[in-house]
Amino acid sequence: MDWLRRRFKFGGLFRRKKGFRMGLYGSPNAGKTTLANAMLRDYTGEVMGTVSEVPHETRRVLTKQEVVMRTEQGTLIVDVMDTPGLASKVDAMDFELMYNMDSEAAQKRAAEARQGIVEAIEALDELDAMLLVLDAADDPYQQVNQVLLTHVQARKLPMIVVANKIDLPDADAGRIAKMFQRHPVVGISAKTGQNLDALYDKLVRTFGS
Amino acid sequence: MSEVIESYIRRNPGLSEKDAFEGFLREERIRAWVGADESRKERLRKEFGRVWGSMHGDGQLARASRAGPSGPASLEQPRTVRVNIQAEPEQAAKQVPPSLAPPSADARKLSVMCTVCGRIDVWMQADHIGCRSCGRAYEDMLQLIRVTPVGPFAFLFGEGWVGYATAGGIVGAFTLLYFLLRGL
Repeated sequence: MDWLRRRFKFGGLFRRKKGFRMGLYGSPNAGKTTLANAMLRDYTGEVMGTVSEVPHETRRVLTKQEVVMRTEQGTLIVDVMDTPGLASKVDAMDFELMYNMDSEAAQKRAAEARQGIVEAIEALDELDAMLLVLDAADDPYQQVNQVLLTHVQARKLPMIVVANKIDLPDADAGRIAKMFQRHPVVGISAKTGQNLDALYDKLVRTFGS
Repeated sequence: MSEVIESYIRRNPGLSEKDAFEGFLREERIRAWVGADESRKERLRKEFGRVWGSMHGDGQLARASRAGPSGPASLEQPRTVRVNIQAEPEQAAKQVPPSLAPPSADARKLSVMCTVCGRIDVWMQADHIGCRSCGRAYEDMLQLIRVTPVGPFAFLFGEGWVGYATAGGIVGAFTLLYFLLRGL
């Protein structure tokens, strides 16, 4: 069965329909896991994974199934998928030189991060919607964001752009809105909880019943 | 503290911070890592400065040099840093490209389609990702992300040879059924 599923991965007619899957995608350290944790904490009381200042802390695709989000706008039942941050490549030297890891730990983390990125890319075909999480204090014109934007447009996948970390002094959600003019952009701070209700409302209004 | 930087500073105690950093940049694998990336160089300069300041601020190196050759510092063995040395360019050239080599135990087939030949035959082995059908190597992992629209044919039957095989199978099955029914 697994062989058949893999063979027909790209054939919509033969694909088994699962729950509504919403993936959190973006660069490393954009705050995807922090946001996933905040969402789960608010609706299930659980958390998704650990967060760290060192990039590639999330190195596996983590899914929480059937999260029931209820707001004044309605209800959304969604499988929330937290993914490793996407990058062109992962260099162990980054961890060694910048985050004071010993060589062995850096190599291990880099290898796991590469696996995680591939897993996240594989999971793109399972998505029903994407939450593109960006660091509002960072330049949005990054290769990762451009590639993901092109991917969702090619697949006609619904996407909401989350401008995270708006609590930072140099955050600029307007710059992000300018880049993603055809998609809704919501500025939040997953860390402080700022404007999260607006994001939940937007999610329920866009994807919910 | 970054072991690589710390180890370099320990191995070159007489240098000023500026000279030490320049020398550090000339180390083969550091030079390869920095490449032409100015931001990496700048981040590295900051980190180097931080480690340098921390080591000299602690007085570790100052005490070591004051202690002289018979002092405790001379008994201290240089710290060994385990590093995976990259294959030399000549060696690398002789190796069979992993994309064409037969699958080994640690290779993993990915559920992504090759953006060149359309086949689902992309493998990952260590840090190398490549298509075994057409030999396309994916140095940039983001290139694995599909950015082309899916047409109605691919939507129904799948993309690449999978789609053609599925469509062909269905047509074949109906043809067979037709001839079977006609023969009855």
